Amino acid sequence: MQVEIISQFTLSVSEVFENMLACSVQLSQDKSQETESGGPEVIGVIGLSGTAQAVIAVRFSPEAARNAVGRMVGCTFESVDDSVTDGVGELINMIVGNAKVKLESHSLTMGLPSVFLGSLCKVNTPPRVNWVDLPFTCELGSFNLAIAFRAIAPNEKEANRVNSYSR
Amino acid sequence: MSILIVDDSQIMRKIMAQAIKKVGNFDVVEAADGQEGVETLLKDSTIELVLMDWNMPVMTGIEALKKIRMNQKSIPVIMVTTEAEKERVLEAIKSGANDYLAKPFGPDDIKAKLKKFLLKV
Repeated sequence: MQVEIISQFTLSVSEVFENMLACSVQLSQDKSQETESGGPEVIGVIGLSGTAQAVIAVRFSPEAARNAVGRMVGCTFESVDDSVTDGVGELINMIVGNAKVKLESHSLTMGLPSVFLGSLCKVNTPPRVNWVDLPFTCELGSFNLAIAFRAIAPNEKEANRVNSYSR
Repeated sequence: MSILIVDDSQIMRKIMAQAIKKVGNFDVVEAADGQEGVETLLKDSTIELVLMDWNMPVMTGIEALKKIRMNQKSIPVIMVTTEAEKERVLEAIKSGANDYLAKPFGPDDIKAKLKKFLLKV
């Protein structure tokens, strides 16, 4: 995956947390946080289509999700309720939307966010795309941004178009 | 004087409402999608500004904006969006938006927009 993609998503995470949560984030060196969760998590997911095929997921522990959304609205959440999942959906929406503006060389369409709650969740990537998992830490807890991003070559788009006509 | 917030996210409505209350003594009216937003606006004559999310189920913000203009409403509408690319902003302006607010935003960004359109703030 291009360094530009990773750096723009990293920058976007940083800007969203600074602006909406007044919180600075750092990329963690801890590689133990893997794409497949080991415990209960709150996962916000958005797909991108267009000149790239991509899935972006933010993964929080329940505590980190409650802390992050609580900071965003200035209150305390005792459990992961509808407000917390709504807030995680907005966070991934802003992270991906903000990164999309920065990726000027691509023409991308964003889907609506989905939020999943549970244990041992695994988010599958589109075919031929690998995850890049970015672990972040901040005062609200740790979280991961998982990026599966594959730019679609112009000749590949043309081949897809011809195939769809010949069906 | 009321401000209408149209956003499918309850959390975003709450964040914007809190920011608005810090700026001045406004009443806040909320709607959860574009259709509800249009209906609310047509019924409530106290509304003087609309903050309109773009991506919403039922009716998108841009569709709602067009409906508002079709009903001869000249009220200021500020589109709120995470996807603030030049083309999207131009599309919003062409459809009748007065301005846009890019997410993520801070309280000062909301304050600046309210000052721009509601001069008494």
